[in-house]
Amino acid sequence: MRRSMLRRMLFVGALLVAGVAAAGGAVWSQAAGTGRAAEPARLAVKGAFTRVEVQRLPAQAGHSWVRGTALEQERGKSKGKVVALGGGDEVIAAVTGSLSPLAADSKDGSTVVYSSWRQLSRPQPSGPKVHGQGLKPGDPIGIPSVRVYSDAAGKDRLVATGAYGPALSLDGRLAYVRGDTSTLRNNVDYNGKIVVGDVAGKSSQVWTSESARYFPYAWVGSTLIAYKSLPESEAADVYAFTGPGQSRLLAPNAFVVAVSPDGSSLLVTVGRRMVEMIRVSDGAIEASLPLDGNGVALDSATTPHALMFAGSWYGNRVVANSDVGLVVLNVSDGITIESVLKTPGFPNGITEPTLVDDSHIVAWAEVGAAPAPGATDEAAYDNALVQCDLAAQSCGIASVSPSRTWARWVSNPSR
Amino acid sequence: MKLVILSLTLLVVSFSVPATASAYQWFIYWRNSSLINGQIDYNCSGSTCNSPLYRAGSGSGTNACQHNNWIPLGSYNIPFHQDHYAGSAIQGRVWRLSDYQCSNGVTRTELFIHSEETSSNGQYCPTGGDDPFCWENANDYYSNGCVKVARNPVTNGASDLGRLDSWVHSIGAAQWLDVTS
Repeated sequence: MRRSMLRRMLFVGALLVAGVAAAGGAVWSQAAGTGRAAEPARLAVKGAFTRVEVQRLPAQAGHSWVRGTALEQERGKSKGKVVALGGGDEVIAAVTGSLSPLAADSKDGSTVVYSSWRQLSRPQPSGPKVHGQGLKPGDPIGIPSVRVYSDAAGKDRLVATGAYGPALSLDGRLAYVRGDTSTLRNNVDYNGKIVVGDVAGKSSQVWTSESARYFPYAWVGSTLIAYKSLPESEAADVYAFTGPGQSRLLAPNAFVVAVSPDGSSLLVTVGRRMVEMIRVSDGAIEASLPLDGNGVALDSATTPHALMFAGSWYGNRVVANSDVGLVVLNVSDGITIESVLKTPGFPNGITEPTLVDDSHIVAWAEVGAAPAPGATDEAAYDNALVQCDLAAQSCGIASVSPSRTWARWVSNPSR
Repeated sequence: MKLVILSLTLLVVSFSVPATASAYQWFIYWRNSSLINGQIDYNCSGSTCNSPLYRAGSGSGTNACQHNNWIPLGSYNIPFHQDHYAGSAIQGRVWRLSDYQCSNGVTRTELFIHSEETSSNGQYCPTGGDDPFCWENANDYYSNGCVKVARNPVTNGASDLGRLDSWVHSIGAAQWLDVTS
């Protein structure tokens, strides 16, 4: 509560400064338009991606990727090698989804840490007599694990069973959550503690005394950025962890959209419709963009209702998936919406978009038709690697795979 | 003789089951391709309901197999219902839903039907902003994945949440929630 008050005071202070500036004729810097009442995306470039399926994307020559249990190494000493991952488990991030990358690599690409999963339950399709996927509270669902492949060892190795959410720092520190139990169970909170060690597994320390639903995301130097879920909710607070028992609340009820290139700031969504740039060192709000301010129609087709977590930041641009398409933000002077690009053919948009330069992204996407009216369960979408040109508004897709065979770039949001 | 006993048993069982418990004990939530313009209903047979539809919302994004996004299509058990739930994130009249595992393996958890009210079913609106236990406006239909119904306005003595809750108490308990597109 005290942290929240401090943030509010900082924000009020920022508004006062903005108010003084406005008296001198300055414009409202948070909106992309011409005044406080302008819809944030009013002046944004609007468009739609075209999509073409290709055998291989240009980015697949320089970025490693995972498809099912195969790691295609395109960096490090084993460039060009296909490595078998998982040790018999699936290579999916069942606990975190996109809150943490499926697989993250070291600076030189020679080490890859990743999530794996052993499915125990057999969820049933919904039907007149099948509710809750045929499972009872407490039924075992699966066992998550954290694993690592390194060129040095030349093999894939289990780091911990009953663990998830690996985050690898640029200096080789590995953080993950060790569950209080190894098995995730239906309708039972899967709590655990954050553990930090080296990739070799020679030493590790527990950084949190309290068990909770944590989700490590990225390192900024020696600071770990991680979520702590709120009880009875999939909402989370964003924390900076700096050592055993040492943490700071950075943003309450928030998700990280992107980490700045120098690691000094995060772009986060706060609450439901506020975008903020916050300073990692003290949580101060450096800029904000309300998506629900005056002038924004509640059902606007162009202003995103919420930005998705797991976007990226390159130069002055941030990209993020949203419910209205891919959103490109400019953060050079406040936060403005530069482009809103619809993603036809991608029923859930372009996920985990990573800017590789000013105008190109790599990402993954689900492909296929959206659920038909009256569908009784979510569609089992195929998924694919994606590479898009923002200027040409075109995307290539490759490595299309069934829903359970995840195609993902190996990436690392750590700075 | 066995047939007579069986018939008598069936007769006793049929009289002991309330008439309202026949086939009308679940909620249906229609996502309607919208985060905040979905609809919820009860007292339904199949997908035909005998009560007015109530506006409802779910999630802060439309990828059902990501945390915090709208609730996946499916049929959910309701492990418990409380009128005075005193959680830290949600309070008051709530229905807990079963977890859901998507076909890609991602698990969705901590799902509820709820509104924004206090554990004593009141409103706590200390700031001019978005207070978690205060229904301010239609933006409150956004959620972290749960299904949300309005706590205000109260008309004819009940809000949408109140009407859902009254129905549930009139039949004993809601058995499940069907989420459809």
